[in-house]
Amino acid sequence: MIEIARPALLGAGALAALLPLALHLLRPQERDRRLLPTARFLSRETRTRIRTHRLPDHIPLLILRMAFCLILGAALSGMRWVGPAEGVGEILIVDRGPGMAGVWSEVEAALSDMVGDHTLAIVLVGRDPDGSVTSESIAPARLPEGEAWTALSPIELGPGEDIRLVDLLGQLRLVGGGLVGVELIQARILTRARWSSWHPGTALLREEIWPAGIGAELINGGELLGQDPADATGKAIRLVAPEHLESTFWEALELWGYEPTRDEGPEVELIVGASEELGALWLGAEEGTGANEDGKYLLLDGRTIPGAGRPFGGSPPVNARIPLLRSGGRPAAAATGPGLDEPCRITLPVNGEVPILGDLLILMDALLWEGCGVRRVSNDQEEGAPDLWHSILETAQGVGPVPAELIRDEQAGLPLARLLLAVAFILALVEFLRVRRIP
Amino acid sequence: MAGKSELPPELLDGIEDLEWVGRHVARGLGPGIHPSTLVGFGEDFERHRPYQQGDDLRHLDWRLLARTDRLHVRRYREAANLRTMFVLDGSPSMGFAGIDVRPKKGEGPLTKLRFAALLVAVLGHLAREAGDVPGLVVSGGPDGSPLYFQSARPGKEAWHALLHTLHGLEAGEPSPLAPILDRVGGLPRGRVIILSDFLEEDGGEALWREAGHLCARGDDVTAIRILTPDELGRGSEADGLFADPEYPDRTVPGRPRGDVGYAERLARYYGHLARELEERGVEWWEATTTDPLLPLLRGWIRGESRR
Repeated sequence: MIEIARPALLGAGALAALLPLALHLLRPQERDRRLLPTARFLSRETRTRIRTHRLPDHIPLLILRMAFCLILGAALSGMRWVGPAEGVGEILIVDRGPGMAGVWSEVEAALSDMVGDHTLAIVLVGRDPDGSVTSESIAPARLPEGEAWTALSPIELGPGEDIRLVDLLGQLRLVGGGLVGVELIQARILTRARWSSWHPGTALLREEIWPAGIGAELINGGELLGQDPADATGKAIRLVAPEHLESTFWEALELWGYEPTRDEGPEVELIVGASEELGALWLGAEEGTGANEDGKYLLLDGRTIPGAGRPFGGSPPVNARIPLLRSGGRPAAAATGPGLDEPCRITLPVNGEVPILGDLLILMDALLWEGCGVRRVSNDQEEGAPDLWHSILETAQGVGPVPAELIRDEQAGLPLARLLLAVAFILALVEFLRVRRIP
Repeated sequence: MAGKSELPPELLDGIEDLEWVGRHVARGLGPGIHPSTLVGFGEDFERHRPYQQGDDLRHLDWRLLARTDRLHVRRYREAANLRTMFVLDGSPSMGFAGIDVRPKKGEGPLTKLRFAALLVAVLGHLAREAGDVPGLVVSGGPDGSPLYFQSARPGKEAWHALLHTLHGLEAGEPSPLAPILDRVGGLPRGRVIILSDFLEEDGGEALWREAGHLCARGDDVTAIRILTPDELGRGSEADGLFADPEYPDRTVPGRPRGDVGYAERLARYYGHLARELEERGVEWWEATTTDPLLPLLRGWIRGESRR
């Protein structure tokens, strides 16, 4: 089976092949000319008949030129041989990051059921000792027969932060792009649904990475954080922020299960940004850049999270609460209210950059709950996360396969570009030699 | 084709028994095989003349004296040699070998010019065997001048120079033959062999006039018309746009083979030209580049076939 990475170029080659045909048809007279010293005696009747008899001249040359254009177009179109392809194959992406500690036995049990003849590859995504994401792809043929997945035990889990869902999707695309021999590919991801492994841009990247429904096999359990449902009920947040920040923040808020438009009046007003038009910044005289400030945010409970951008000068309102400091001790956010019929107003002055990983959720947690004096509670369930995982991974049509050619890398299979270029070169050479032989 | 020894041996064998005798009397340079304009005491009886004082009594016709009782001496025609001037058409049309004719490996295509050069070499050899002196003039030079000129000179060196010229001969520029014949008319009388396709722009009128002048002054003129089968409409089936090599911009769509009108016009042109030339005393021979050379020469020289 041949796949074409850039079919438009193949079409362009086909169109270009029509050009020599047109030129041969339009200019037959010069090319048809033959020498005959007695040409003056030719009949007038024959002249008339032959004048209307326009055929492409030098047919072998015409064929050579058309073939050259076609083959050159094919070479530039990224044509490659991927062999015969049939049936449906499956890729299993398995989260082997630190977040899977304590549930690995469940993972093994699940995998034993999931691995089958249709499994093309099992990809274990973990972390190196230095914290970087790594993957190991295992073909089912390497698994001892009858023992299936348990033969790989014990598996050491890497250190560091949880593997993000977006990393798992990235590995899926990486492995799927190199697979040949199947017509359709379906995918399943085995992980835990934890906010700490969430990336706010995941929903946006999801369709680009894998254009079909992915099976979400979620292993639950372990110690998780959540919010107090009683305190959360009835809250609404009005966000004032530049457009590019607003979408990120809203996504983070939705992850927390808020429905900001549920109530008529806003009870929390979160003002994010450095624009003066936002009207709620503490704007000082000069821009402060503390020598000992290294760009981190310091939470009241002593935790630090990576900050972004330069600090702002000046001071917040006198009666404001300071739920967030910069590492140098300057206020990084201020909260006022709530008073009578007045929302809790939190101001987070940033200059265009905010933490966007799981830290953002911690940051928002500190701002919205501690800044407004709302109690924060622990919960062993991350409510909402599994549903979100499912909705992100599975499409409205559910789980399904994707045509392999849609996700296949340009490097997969046997590239034919060089071969086709060589053929095109030979054709050009033959054409050149033939043209030289024409008197 | 640099000398006698380089002519194909089978060709030399084939023409060994041929004697190329001129049709007219000639004023020769020395003894030869042709009838001489010099009447004297040779081998062939010419006429009687009344005896004059001083005549050698050995030539007195004693039998006539016995019958008529008058003194007459016998006069004989002397055999003489000839100047043989080959006039070769070197115009571009003579470089034609055929429609779509490609050179064979190791040799060029047999153009009309090469065929004519071969004829000149063989006829020149026959002429030399007869004691004649060949010369060569090739048309196709700039402004109607000859492309090559070698007067009729005796000796091996002159003959080799002539053959060398024939060997490397290439067609020149378009030029009519009449001015060349006019120049030949300024040379001593002899035999003039014109080899050409005779595709003259004026239909050949100037040509037959000049040839007629040559005949009138006593030259033995032969015109050998050389064409290819394609020109005769008996060759390639090719059709398309055709152009005269001498006028490449004048293209004509056509198909020579099977074109009845073409064959008729061609025959009419050459028929008229041959008639005009023959009326003026020019002998008209025809050849095709595919003709086998030996039968062709035998037919011509023995007078068995002229066309």
